[in-house]
Amino acid sequence: MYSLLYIVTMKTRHEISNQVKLYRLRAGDMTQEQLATSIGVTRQTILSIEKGRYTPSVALALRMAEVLETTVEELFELKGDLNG
Amino acid sequence: MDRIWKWIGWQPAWGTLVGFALVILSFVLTAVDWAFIALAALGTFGPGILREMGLLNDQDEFQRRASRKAGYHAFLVAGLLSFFLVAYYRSTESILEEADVILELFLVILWFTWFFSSLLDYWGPARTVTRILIAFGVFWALFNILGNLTDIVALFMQTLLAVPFFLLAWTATRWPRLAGILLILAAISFFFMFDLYKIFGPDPLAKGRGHVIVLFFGPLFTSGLLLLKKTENEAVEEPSSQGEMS
Repeated sequence: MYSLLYIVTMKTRHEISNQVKLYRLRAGDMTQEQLATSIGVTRQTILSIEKGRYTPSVALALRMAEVLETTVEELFELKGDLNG
Repeated sequence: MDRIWKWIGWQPAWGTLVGFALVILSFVLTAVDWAFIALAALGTFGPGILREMGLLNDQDEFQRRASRKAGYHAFLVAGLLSFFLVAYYRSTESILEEADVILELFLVILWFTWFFSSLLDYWGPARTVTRILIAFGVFWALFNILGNLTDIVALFMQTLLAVPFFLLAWTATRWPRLAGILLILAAISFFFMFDLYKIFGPDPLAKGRGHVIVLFFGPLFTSGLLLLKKTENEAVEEPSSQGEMS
């Protein structure tokens, strides 16, 4: 029963794309572990964000942008047309 | 220790570890008195209660979200099943002779749904299924090694039964759909081999049938369904040599 519930909900659209991996590599080949440590989360959290499985809170996105020396808008982007 | 967690790909919060230790301790102490099973309640629900009260802050926001989502899934599944069981027992002549069986079953359903949902959120379907199969294989092997310590031939033969789980875990990383079909077929075979179909009979929960369905048939069948939904590329998702996922 749980599997059916999961399979139905896994179709949920991920509306936000991200460039975290790109900016992480640009910041001197920073590893997921290093980024995670610098913003106080686990490596799995970084991995899930990069894979698009998890959208971080505004606070975490801001911390991430600060460490990667960029802006939240550069890291995250809404997919598609805002009006569509 | 960090290397072990890295290899597993999971670094549990320390509250979770303490809780897990309490659960193990409680089961060991049941050999003295079943009252010690109450310790398992503290281990299972204590860390979560402390976190919700703001007294324990050992998880990041992704872990907290996974836990809360898993809790909601457990509520939905256990709630739905409880209504079905009430409907069954109210509408038939069946009498529930051992109330503790049904209480344990609900605990198992709550825990299993919460656990499975957390893992899926944490690892994604492919890695979750692989690790569940490896865990099944390891437990099966350990169970048989401990049960056949005096008979080397039986020990060897019984331990071999764990091999299909490892083979399926390996297959799941390369050909997820094939592994999915095999898992579903295996789950259906076990359903008939262990008389689990009698869940639809006059005494559905006799002989721990409900527990076996949730803890054995459930993971295999669920894993099979999840793998059928995966594409080949998504399934190959293992850490690189730097301990980092691509």
